[in-house]
Amino acid sequence: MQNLISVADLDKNLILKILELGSEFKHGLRKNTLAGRVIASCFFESSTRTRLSFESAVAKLGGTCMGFADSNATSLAGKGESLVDTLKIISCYADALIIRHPADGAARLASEVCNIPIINAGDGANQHPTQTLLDLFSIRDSQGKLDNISLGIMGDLKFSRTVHSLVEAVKLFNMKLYFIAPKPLRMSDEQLLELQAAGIKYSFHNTLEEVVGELDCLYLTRLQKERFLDEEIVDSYKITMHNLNDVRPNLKILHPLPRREELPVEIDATPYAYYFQQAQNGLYVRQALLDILFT
Amino acid sequence: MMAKKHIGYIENGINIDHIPHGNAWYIMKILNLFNSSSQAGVGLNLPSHKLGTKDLIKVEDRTLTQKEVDIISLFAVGSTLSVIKNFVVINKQILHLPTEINDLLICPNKRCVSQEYNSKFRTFIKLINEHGCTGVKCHYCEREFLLHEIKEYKF
Repeated sequence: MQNLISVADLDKNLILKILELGSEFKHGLRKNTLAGRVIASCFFESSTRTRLSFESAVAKLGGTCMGFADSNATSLAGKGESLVDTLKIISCYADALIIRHPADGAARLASEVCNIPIINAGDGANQHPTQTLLDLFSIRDSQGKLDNISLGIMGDLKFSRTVHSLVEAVKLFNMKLYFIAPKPLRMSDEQLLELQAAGIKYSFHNTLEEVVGELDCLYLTRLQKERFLDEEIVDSYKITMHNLNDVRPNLKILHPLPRREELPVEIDATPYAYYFQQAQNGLYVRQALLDILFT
Repeated sequence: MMAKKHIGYIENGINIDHIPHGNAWYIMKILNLFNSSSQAGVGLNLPSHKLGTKDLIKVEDRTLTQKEVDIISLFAVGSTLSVIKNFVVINKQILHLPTEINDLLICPNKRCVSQEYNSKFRTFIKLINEHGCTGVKCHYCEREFLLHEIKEYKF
């Protein structure tokens, strides 16, 4: 693998290889595969989990991380240097480049102008492939498998980048999908057609109560109030303790974080909460990815 | 002899027939007819058994590269491209969509990196034909659009 730009670049074998390697890192079976390497961590927009987990992954692998968490500190903003020139310069000093940028397609562009491996850490509304990998890792880690999983996805299914990428990857596995969303935020027809073509079964639901007892995993996303006029709609797509009265014992709740009202803190103490482990899994998956890029 | 009668006045050049009505303007731009000294004939809103109405373009002393054929195909799927030499059709083909096209279509997604750097960087659009719909997918932002949603071109 030369770069990781998009979920579409991944096939099932490569995904399983990354997840397996991630498990090895989680159990401390591998280390120091980046010794002597310098990795550029270039975040042109802010991030907490993604940036810090990448930088932690580099450090734990014995590599050195350089870069910035805010493009205002670069010549791009201060002196009007072009994005391409900035990327070319950085690639002179690093062995790989991790990029987050607000423009859709920025990581693909980076992969075409730099001669070092590029990892997309989020390009605008387009792709966030390492989030998808850590989501798959979390489903597999919590359920022991990726096939024959009943996966509920609740929240903003229309605009959420993480949901789009996860659903794209789910096409490679045998999962049943339960979409729980208000009508204005349902998944696009194009993506539903792709699921049909891949033979993935799915159903729509207006409330979590209708399906929560069927689920192995529930993936929550943030509902952005600015997309709604009716605040009551937002309030109806929260998970509550009441929802967890009659669920499967293996149910795990996932969320890409940060959370808002849709995931109240009282859920944290239940055995179903998995989102903090999910965030931690991001470290292992990113270690695996960096390892594969250099071995 | 039929072909010679149909082509009319072209001695050496090309004839693009059965162009969907309204698309001749794009092809004239692609062929750079407005800045060319070649003789050209353009028919708009002509009656057609196949399409109802059609456009037609004939250009004297003009040949096409494969890239030009691919680009023209975007606006003339199902049209007939004839190459004429000494009043005789020496090659005739039905135009089909190419699988990808470079440096022509400008991605309509205002947040796409190819928009921001449009003046310096190529556009690269993959054509898709799935589920009975013809569309395009931007190489950079990966967004999919119907052809008629593309409003800007680099000619």
